[in-house]
Amino acid sequence: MKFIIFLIIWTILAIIAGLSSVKFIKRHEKVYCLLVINGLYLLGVFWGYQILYLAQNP
Amino acid sequence: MVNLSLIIELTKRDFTERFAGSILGFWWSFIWPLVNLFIYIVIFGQLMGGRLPGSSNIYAYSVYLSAGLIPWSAFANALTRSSSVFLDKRHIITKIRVALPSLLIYIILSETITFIITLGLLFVFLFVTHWSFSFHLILLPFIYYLQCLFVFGLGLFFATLTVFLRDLKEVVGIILQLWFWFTPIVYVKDILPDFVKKIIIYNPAFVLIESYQRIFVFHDAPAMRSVLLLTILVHIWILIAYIIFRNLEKDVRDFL
Repeated sequence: MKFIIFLIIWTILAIIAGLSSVKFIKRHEKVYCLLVINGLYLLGVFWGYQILYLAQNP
Repeated sequence: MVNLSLIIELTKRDFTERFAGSILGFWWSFIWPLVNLFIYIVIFGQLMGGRLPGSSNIYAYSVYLSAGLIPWSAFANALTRSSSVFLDKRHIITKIRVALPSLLIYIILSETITFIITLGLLFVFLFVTHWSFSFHLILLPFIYYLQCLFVFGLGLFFATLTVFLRDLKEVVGIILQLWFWFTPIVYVKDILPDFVKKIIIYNPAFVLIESYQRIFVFHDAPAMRSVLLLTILVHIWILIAYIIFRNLEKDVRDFL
């Protein structure tokens, strides 16, 4: 349950960050920025799963 | 940067053109996965008597095979088509100003639809056979998303270079064929010699395929350390592929 709540919040944050970078950053820098956001999002999901679910349900 | 309406239109057209003129039309996109699943489950799993070591369930090997082959097909098809997409779609590229990476996204999207249909049919089979599911299924979309990113990085790299070196299209086919047999999809990792087991963990496809197999067959979480490492490597690879693409983009357009 903790993981699902984390996942929803994390996804909303990633979408906000992604949309902001699309709106405010220039063409090529935008790609790099989106790549970083995307990477952090996925790392966060897997890490979050490890900490919030696997650690508590070994 | 990326033309969303063009991606959607190309994806739609990809499906309609594939079955254009046929009587069953769109239904073929269900029939093909159904036939593939039939082969994995009935031919390999039942008639050839394939069994998964350590499991007494008669469907275990069929599920193991399906859990590996379905994502692999999506991966291989998307990569094969991506590697020549700039050449295949040159009639579009030379006529309208299009962001070239969009063309890779439409292929990945199109293969994703096929993947979802096949996976849906697999789920039906699993329900019918009373197969148990684990909470780890929640990670499935993220593992597939990571796979798509990996295909995008590789596809962008090969698509850029294939414009100048057309033999690369065939090379990609050969690489995929070898890669398939170097990844435990139809066989289990345990039968491999010890030295191969040690190096196979560096095979990115192994990390992805093993994740699906662990989720579906062994009701276990993916090997998180490997998945985290792969996530970092995939993003670094996309960055490298994008820098190469950016440096060669003008030449790619001129060559086409």
